[in-house]
Amino acid sequence: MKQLRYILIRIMQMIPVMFVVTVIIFWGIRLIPGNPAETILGEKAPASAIRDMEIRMGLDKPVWIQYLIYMKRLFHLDLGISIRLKDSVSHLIAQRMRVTILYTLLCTLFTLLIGTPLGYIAGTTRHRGVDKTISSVSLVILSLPEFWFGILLLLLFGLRLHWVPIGGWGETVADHIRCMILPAFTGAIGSVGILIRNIQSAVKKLLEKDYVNFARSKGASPGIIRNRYILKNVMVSTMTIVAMRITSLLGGSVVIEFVYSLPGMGKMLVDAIDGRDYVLVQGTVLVYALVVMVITLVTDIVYSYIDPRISMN
Amino acid sequence: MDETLLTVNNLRTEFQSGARTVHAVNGVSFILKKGEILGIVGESGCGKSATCRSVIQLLPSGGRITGGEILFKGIDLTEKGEKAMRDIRGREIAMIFQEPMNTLNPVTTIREQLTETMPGKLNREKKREEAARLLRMVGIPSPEERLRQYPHQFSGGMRQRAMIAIALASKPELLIADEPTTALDVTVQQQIIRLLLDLRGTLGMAMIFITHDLGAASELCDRIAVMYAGKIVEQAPADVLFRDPMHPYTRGLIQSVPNLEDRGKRLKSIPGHTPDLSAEIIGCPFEPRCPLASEQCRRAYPEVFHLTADHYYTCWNAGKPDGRDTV
Repeated sequence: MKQLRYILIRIMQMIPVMFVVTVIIFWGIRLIPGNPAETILGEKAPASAIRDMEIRMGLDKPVWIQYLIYMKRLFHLDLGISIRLKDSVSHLIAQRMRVTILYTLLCTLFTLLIGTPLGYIAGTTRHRGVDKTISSVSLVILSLPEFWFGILLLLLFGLRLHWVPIGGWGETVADHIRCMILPAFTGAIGSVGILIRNIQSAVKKLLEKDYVNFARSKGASPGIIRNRYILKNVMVSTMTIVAMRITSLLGGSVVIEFVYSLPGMGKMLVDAIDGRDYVLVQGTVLVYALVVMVITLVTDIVYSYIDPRISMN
Repeated sequence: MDETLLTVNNLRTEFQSGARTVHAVNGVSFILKKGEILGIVGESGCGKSATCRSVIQLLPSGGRITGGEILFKGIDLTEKGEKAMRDIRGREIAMIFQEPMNTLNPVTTIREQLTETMPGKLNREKKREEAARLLRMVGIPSPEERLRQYPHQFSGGMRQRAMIAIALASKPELLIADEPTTALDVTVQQQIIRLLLDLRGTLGMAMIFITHDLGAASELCDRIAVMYAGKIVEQAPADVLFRDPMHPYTRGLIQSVPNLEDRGKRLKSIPGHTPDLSAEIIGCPFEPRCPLASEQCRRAYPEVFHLTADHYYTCWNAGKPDGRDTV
């Protein structure tokens, strides 16, 4: 009951934040020189044609009137029609979001599957060489650009070995997953370095804690010590990093989408800003802001389950 | 009750830290009988913790046993591998630690921590009952409720009790207590000491109690070994040691215990500090701080002098007047 109340309060708190986001993005996008009419018609178009188009788009009205019209629509959950793509913004976002969500899920999964064991080994090993190798390799990976890895993997697994398609998104769910393996792996390489270093230092600190010694002194099996004493405590500090990474992945990864020709959120937003597609930019940023807040809330809830010292209030 | 449980013979333990080798335990020998409480007393860094961690073989990284034997019920533990030691830990030898804050796992319930090493053949309900019984045994009120809680919901003294309950879950014959009262309030210290005495009475386990607090040691222990620079310098039954301390270090320790009768007077302390155990020491390591130091002390480590069968000390000049108040 207390938890439900807490979640409700947090959701209520999102409303004013969302309101501020609409104000900032609405005025912000209009501060960029040029408008959609100009970009659609091109530089050489006569001023009268641009003027006509602005009137049709309603851009001739004062900005605050435009804002009121936008807000009125938003109350009916209508994000409007994209100026350039001539499709409803909610439909466009829904389509692109599928790609980005699948990418985020697989990428996070790979990051955890690769990072957790390596970080744990690097943290627990008494062998200097293993420790040093893992931490320097993770540092090297951390400093390499994503697109370079992406192209390299694409050349090997796509062009040479034909294990996975060289790009695109496919038709069926199985296709989607197959198409997403390389991009997700590439994205994971980017975050795995941070995760390894974080887990390694967290594990090292934990091993000095008396409760790991105490667990040993009562004869607890290595499995219990690893899972309940080390990994569960490491999760507490790792959660924050993973949650931050998830939030940034959900915003779309322009580079990855470009290398693998994926129809994701990142490329759509960049194109929308470039073409001054006001409606699409407003809709996308608003949805993204909502996603960030929801992820933060979910993280806090999960936190309170992992770490009993943090309570929901 | 007169049966020997643990015999430590000429134990040596080293710590490797960088290029330095610290000789933390330098030939320690003692015997512990079943149901007996032995106190090991000394300043920090004298090797008392390293001795005990050697017995249970949980040395911090860099530490290793380099010599001697540890006979537990006649079996040499130094020859046991990690896997064999795991079966001994908890079931035969258990340990409790100084900081109850850091000794319990913050992210699992007290119940889990009590039951996770219980034999798998017990079912959930049996384990829960047993866990509640253990909490009741160490004097934690409303144990059923407490089982569901996490360590941060316990006070310091309650955590220490919970830790003792967890250590005793598998009925060990030897409990090693590494400064279990040091981090607690004085009143809570008293409660924990009383609890340990009660538990010895009901469970009949032997105990090694490590402390730098002579007062606590005198209340709890049957016998006390005083350690200095990795060696035992005096050992005697607790009452004898206080009545008739021989080694100048023991005397110094006893005199530096604050005493209500000496109010207003300057607190006595032993001048100087403990020697660097990574350097080779010729002669008696206490010599630079000792009021009785003589030429002989600088040349050779003292022999063991037996005052009675169960009271010995290692000092060339013990018993000579030292210009201090006699106790």
